[in-house]
Amino acid sequence: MNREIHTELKELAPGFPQGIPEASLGVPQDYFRDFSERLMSRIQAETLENETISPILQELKGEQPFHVPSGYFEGFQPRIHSGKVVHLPTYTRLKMVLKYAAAACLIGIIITFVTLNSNQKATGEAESASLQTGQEISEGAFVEYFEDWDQNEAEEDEESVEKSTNLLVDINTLTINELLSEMGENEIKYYMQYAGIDEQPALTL
Amino acid sequence: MLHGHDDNELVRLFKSGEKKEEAFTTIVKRYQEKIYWQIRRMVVSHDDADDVMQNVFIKAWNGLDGFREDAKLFTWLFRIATNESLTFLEQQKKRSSVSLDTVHEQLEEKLRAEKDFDENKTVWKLQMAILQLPEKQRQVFQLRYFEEMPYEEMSQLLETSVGALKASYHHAVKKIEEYILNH
Repeated sequence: MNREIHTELKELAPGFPQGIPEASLGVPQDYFRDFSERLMSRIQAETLENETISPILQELKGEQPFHVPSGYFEGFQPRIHSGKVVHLPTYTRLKMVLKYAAAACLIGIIITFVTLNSNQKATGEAESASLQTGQEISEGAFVEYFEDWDQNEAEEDEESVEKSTNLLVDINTLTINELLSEMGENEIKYYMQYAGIDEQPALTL
Repeated sequence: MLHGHDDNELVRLFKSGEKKEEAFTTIVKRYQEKIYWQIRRMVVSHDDADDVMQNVFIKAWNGLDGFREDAKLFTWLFRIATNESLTFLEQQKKRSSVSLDTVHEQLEEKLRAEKDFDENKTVWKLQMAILQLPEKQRQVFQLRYFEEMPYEEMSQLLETSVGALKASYHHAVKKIEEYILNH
């Protein structure tokens, strides 16, 4: 055995039995002497068979009808390295655009949500800040504010009463006469009885 | 015979059509034993090895016209032999619808059927131990142990890195040692 292989084996497995020969697997006598002859006979027989079955096919065997540009195989490797621009089909491009649009929408929604949230927070903070500053307002200022407020309220009440009175006047003067003139005397009596207004003097307008 | 010609010259003669058969016969005679033992160690039985070897050289006959001369002829033949052997084992597995373990059992049976088989002899224990190995480790061990092939050459032959081959050989040796010591 080769010394290098022997040393390697000893290092790898010290218990490995040294120098075991290969088992003598049986080979028929003269097998190697006759093999090439048997092989060539078989090859010739197969070739003959093919020629007999179809001489044309046998003649065509090995012929390549397809044309390959000269120097194609030599230039193949560099072309791979230099890369090739591949134009994407329209559908693929549209798909990509939609993908980016969807991503932009999502980002927009997130930004809006964050902005609204921070505004609410800011308003809340401002309110709490104003409440806190309210504690520092003097008592006199409060009294003044409420006096003003009472005055405003009273003015508003007067205004609304005036408006409602005007409305009543308008109704009386403009429409009641017309409405009464359209009603018969019996109807008026019946209404007065129903309303519990008996023997009342006639309305004078 | 063209014994004095190197591989490249023989391939050129074959391709030119001039002395085609003579050139091919010289190639067969030059490498038949090495190729045979590579196949035989994988398929075990002589009859199976003979079938596979004929297929290997028929493929070589049909493909030699397309062989590129920058490669080594033996490497090319060796690869065909390895692929054919693996295909043969795969076909056996499919034909008998059995697992790969059962194929190993069948290979063991074939080994036991050898004329000089004696399970008490270390030489046969080694053969039995080799059959327990996965295909790749089997190949690496046989090329290193029996053929004494350098890792660099084996690396080209099996298209595997030297580091991976060393690791495979290491695992194979350990498994075989364990098998021999326990049987």
